[in-house]
Amino acid sequence: MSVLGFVGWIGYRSLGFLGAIGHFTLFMSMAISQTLTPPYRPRRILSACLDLALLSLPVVGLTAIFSGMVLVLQSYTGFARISAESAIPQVVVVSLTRELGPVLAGLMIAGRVGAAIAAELGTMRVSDQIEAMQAMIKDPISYLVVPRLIAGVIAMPILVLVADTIGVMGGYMVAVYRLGFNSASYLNATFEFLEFYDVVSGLVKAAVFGFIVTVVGAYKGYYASSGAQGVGRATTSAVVLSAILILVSNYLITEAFFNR
Amino acid sequence: MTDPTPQASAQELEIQFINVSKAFNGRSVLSDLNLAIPKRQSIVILGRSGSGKSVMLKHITGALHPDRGQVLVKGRKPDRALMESIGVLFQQGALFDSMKVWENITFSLRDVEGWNARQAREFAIYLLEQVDLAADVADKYPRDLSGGMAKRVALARAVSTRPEILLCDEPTTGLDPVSGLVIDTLIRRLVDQFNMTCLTITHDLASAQRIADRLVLLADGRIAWDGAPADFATTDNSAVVAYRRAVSQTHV
Repeated sequence: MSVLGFVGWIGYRSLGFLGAIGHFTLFMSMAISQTLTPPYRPRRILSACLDLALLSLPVVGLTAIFSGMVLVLQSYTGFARISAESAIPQVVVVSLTRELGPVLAGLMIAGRVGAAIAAELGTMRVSDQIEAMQAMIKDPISYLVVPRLIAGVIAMPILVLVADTIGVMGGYMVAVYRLGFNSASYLNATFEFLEFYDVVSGLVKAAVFGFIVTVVGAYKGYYASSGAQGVGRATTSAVVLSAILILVSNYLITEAFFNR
Repeated sequence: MTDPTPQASAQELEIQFINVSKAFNGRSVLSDLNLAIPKRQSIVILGRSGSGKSVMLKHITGALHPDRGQVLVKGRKPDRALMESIGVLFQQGALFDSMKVWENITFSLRDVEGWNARQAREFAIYLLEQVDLAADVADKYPRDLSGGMAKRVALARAVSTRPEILLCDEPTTGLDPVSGLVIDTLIRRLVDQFNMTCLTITHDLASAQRIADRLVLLADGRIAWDGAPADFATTDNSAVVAYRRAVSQTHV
């Protein structure tokens, strides 16, 4: 490839990338605009909330409990070297509420709910169901995307709050029953050190991740093409893009909250 | 070439394609196309795959816009409000998987009419009767229906708003001959019963003959032939002869 060809290729790819960002931003703007406009379809929002929070609880709960347990074990082996075992409850609760709870739940939800949204909307796209909805003068974004978006922002923080609690309890079990910590001292240290701000920052992250997972899943599904293969591609890229955006936004939100 | 509607005035015309051209990625799909469809006529557009039939349909629903020329429906450019008077029967039915049959049929009506679930279900059952389906179908999901039944439900949904125009996209595709015959008969019956203008696109010649008042053959983005169904079998128009030969060879 000549230098000019290479530069041309870079330019072509850059324009494509910018175009994709613009397209996604446009979709997101339409979804947000529809979210602020009635009708709100409470039954569909409730159904999406149940799907996101309740049906995801087993997988998110498992992730949280084992994360809490491993965190205690790992902290113990490390902190024992500097005789700082007493700091374990504080480290566990802060790590879980600020970081691990929302991020791990976000990634699990991207794999479970984001993929499902992309697959469902993608199937609707390739089987003309979205086109049929438009022909019936129903806005597919208002009907299909907005309830999921609202559910993502509402249900995700609730799910993360539960996951945080489960994770702390997992850590507690290992600390008390495996490593011999005093039960009351462990719980006291956990709650005395925990600040309101720690929990709030985690819940804000959860709401943002809920938004990301639902809007990315909906976007990828809504514009899926080329039959079953296209739906498969949409599903995969929804999970990958959601995961990347979750990790990037996690850093940005942490900067915003704690870099003072 | 014959024109069965030479006397139709502008007021009587339901759909008009006026010098419409459309290209995708430099490939011309519709080329200076002119077609006038009067009210309450059932017109069938025949043509091979890629001849531009679906593109014509999407211009009527406003999903596509012409590069040149204009498409007029009821004398104006297609818009959202106009869609209220158009019903569409999609190729694969396009029933909503997550909804029961009655919810599918009344999907576009419940908000408008302010019906509760019982009223909507009753109306859906009435429409199911119109397409020769039993009332118990109302509570089934699309996945529980055969291809022919799903197409009939889709037809019931398409006419649920009592549209003035019915658009049918390959109504018999994927159906066995008997189910295809049933669908054609139902389309014809409902078009007459509800006084609709009907535009059907298909490559199924037998189906076209059953539905049409008027047949149009589309080739290379242009109207190659336009006439009465009875004349299609006898005309010596070269495009029609080629199409008939292709149909007989492929048993389409």
